[in-house]
Amino acid sequence: MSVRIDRSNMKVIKRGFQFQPFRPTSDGGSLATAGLADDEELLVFGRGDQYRALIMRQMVYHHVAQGELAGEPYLVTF
Amino acid sequence: MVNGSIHHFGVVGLSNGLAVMADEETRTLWDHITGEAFEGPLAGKRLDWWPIRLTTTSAALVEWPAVPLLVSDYRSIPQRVMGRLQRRKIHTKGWLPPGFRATMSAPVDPRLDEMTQGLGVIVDDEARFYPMDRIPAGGLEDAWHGRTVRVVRGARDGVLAATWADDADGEIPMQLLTRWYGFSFTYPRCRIVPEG
Repeated sequence: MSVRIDRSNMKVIKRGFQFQPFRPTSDGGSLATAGLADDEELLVFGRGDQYRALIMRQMVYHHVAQGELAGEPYLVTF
Repeated sequence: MVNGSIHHFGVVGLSNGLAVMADEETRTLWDHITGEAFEGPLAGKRLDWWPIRLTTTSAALVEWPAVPLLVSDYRSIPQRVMGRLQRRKIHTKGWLPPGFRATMSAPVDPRLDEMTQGLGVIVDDEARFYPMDRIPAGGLEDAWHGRTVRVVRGARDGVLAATWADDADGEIPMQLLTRWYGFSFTYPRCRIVPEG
C-alpha cells in the first residue's frame, strides 16, 4: 500500500544515527532461562519456522534491530 | 535487502511523531512503518514487510517455548533512561515524548484520542484500526474484500491479533500494535472498527 504522507515538519540529522542500532552477533540464548519477569514486554518476529525475541525496553532505545534469520536478512523497527 | 545488497539502517529523526530511518549506504530516508523510501537516491523503493508480535514473556513461552532471546549489551545513559521511562507499552496510556508534537504536519485525526492503543491492519490498498478498548471479550469479525478478518485479544498478554477466519494455513494479514496518532498519520482516513 503506497500512501502520500505529509512530512512537512520532519526533523532529521545529516550524519550518523540518533540511536545505536542493535545488530545481534549471535543466535541468542533461551528466553525460558533468561530470568525475565512474566510481564516483561517483548517483540517476537520470525521467518518460516524460526523465531527470535527482543526485549521491548531495549528496543525503545535502539528502534532498529538488524541481522540474519533463516539465511535471510531482517530489519525489525519499533 | 535493497537491489540485491544488504543496507544498514538506523533512525535519523522524526516525522509526525514517528521514527524516520536512513540507510548508511545511500542516506535515503525510509518510513519505518511502511518500509517505503520517500527521499533520497532510493526513493520509491520499498522493503518487504512482515508482522511482528508485541507480547509478554509468559505469553511468548506458551507459543514459542524454545524461542531464543536476542539481548543487546549496549549501555548508555539515554538507553537506560528511555528503557526505564517506556518499559511498558502494551496496556499503558502512554505519552508523547518532548519534541514529537513539533514534527507533526497537522493536528492528529480527532476521531480518537491520539494515544489510543489499537491494532492497525493493512491489506492491499486499505487500512483499518481496531481500538483495543472497543474489542469485545470474545473478539470480533470484520468483512474485508470478500474475506473475514477475526480480531481477538490474547488470553495471556491481552494483545490484539488479527487472523483470516477462512485461512487454515496460518497466513495472517499485515498488522501492527500502534498508537492512533502514528497510524492515522501513516494511513489517513483509515476506517475505525468498530465505529464509535
